[in-house]
Amino acid sequence: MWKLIFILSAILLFLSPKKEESFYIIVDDCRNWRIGTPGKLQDQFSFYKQTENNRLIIIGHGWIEPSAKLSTEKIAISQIMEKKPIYTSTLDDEAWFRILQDSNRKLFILRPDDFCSGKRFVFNQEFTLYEAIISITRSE
Amino acid sequence: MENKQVYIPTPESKDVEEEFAERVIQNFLFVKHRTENRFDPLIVRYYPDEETSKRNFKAINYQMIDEKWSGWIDLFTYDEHYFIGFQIEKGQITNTRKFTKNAPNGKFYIGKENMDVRCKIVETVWVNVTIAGDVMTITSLESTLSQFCTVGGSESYTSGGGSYSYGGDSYSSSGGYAGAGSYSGYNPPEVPMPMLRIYIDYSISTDPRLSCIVNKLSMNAFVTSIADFTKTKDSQQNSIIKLGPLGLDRTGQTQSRNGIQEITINSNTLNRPDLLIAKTIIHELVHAEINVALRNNGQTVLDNNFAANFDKFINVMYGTDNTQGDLHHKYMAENLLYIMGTALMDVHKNHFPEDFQKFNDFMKLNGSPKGVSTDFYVNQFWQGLEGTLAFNQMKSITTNPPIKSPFQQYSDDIRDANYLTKPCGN
Repeated sequence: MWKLIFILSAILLFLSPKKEESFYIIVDDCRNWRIGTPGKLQDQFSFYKQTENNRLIIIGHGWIEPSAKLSTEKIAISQIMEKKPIYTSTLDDEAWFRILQDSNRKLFILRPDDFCSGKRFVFNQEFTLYEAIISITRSE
Repeated sequence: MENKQVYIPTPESKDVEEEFAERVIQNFLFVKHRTENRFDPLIVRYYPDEETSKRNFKAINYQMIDEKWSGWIDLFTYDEHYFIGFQIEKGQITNTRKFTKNAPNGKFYIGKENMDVRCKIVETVWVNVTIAGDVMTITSLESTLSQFCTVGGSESYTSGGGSYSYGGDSYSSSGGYAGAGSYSGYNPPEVPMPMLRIYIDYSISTDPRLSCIVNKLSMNAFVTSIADFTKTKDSQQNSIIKLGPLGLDRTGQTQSRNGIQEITINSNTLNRPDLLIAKTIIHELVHAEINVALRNNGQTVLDNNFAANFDKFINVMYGTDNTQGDLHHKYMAENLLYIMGTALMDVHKNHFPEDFQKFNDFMKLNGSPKGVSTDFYVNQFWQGLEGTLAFNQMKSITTNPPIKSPFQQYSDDIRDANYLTKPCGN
């Protein structure tokens, strides 16, 4: 009987959909990004960048309703590196499009003003990663 | 006069204002004529379904039907001939009633039938009569209001504004418009049939989310003025809308193939809020309408002066490498942004009312005390028009902080639009 339960739970574990891992993006080309106009909602922010092809990329940590509030994670830089983050300086338009197409994964960013600050060189310094909504303008 | 609201008589006291809060409300709508330089007055009557839909005179008008209001709205010409009616359920149009007449040239008119339809409100006062022996007791019950419409026949009516008489097909009035045509009375503007007869492809009609978005769009006045959607194939169709894979750098495209406008919505870029997909469809519809207008001697409801306005871009583009798509975009950027933006706002407000309400509340909290404005929706349509002269001019305008530059406002609006939801499902 116990064997049966063990086998069944092993099968269920195997069949259950794996929770998709999150994307971690480090905004490292800090000078290319400018901060969005701050609204009155203090815990929301955004950054913009224009690409060579005249596209606008917007990273937004924002929401309309409190129930849709995006999450944050506090984590040391060494742990961020273990998550194999993507650096924005390496992304062209196509790479951004592919990231956006993956709707099942949460996306966290390390802000450019955090990454490009001296805090990065402090041992075991923790950074806040912000869940973000990214959009890019496309042709129509 | 455009977009003005005037109350006649001006309420002088609160008591007078409360008298306006009748169950049935009537006001005037001044509609800009499509082709002539004039405004036409129309009478709008609001018949609420329930007590919960009763509104004060100032709380309801044709452009401000809230999401809780249910009932019928009827429009009459100013000499009180029936024009068109809409049934509203919780702020959304669910039905229309009208008398139209098709003409062989593809236009449709408000026909004689309309001129012959008269409606009036009849109030019935109900009383309860009780007789007990020699004593008769009469108690008044609530009165009810009904609308009676008559078609043809003889009937006379006198009002302070003029006198009218009807008899079969003849019609005459005094105090009305002296318009051209077979009637001496008010001559309503012609409303041409939309030029795009669009077949909704199986790929969209079987997709619940896309189908829901197209349905909502097909109730918008701007969309219906250019496009007539159908799910059944017939020989009249000159366009098709479908869902299909395109490159990741675009959300949609319109191609003209042998006179058929083929609109494709990119199935790879559906992970966006519903309103932005609606925006893409409107953008592609305008491409299709421009294509058809170019084949049709420049006739389109988009623009009374289409040929001249579009021609400007042809002239300046001789000898350049610009493609036809750019030509459309330049024309859109300089002539249609406001119309498209207003249409998108109407779709959001009236057909995604909960999403709109939440977004409006968010905008108020986030520094826009008046809530979301038309500019937000206009800015959505700048997407896809990058590279046009108008876009570059908008982008080059600078302002002194804290005033946002138009480009900053555009960027913020694009950002906020991406926080919107998917009321039609995932």
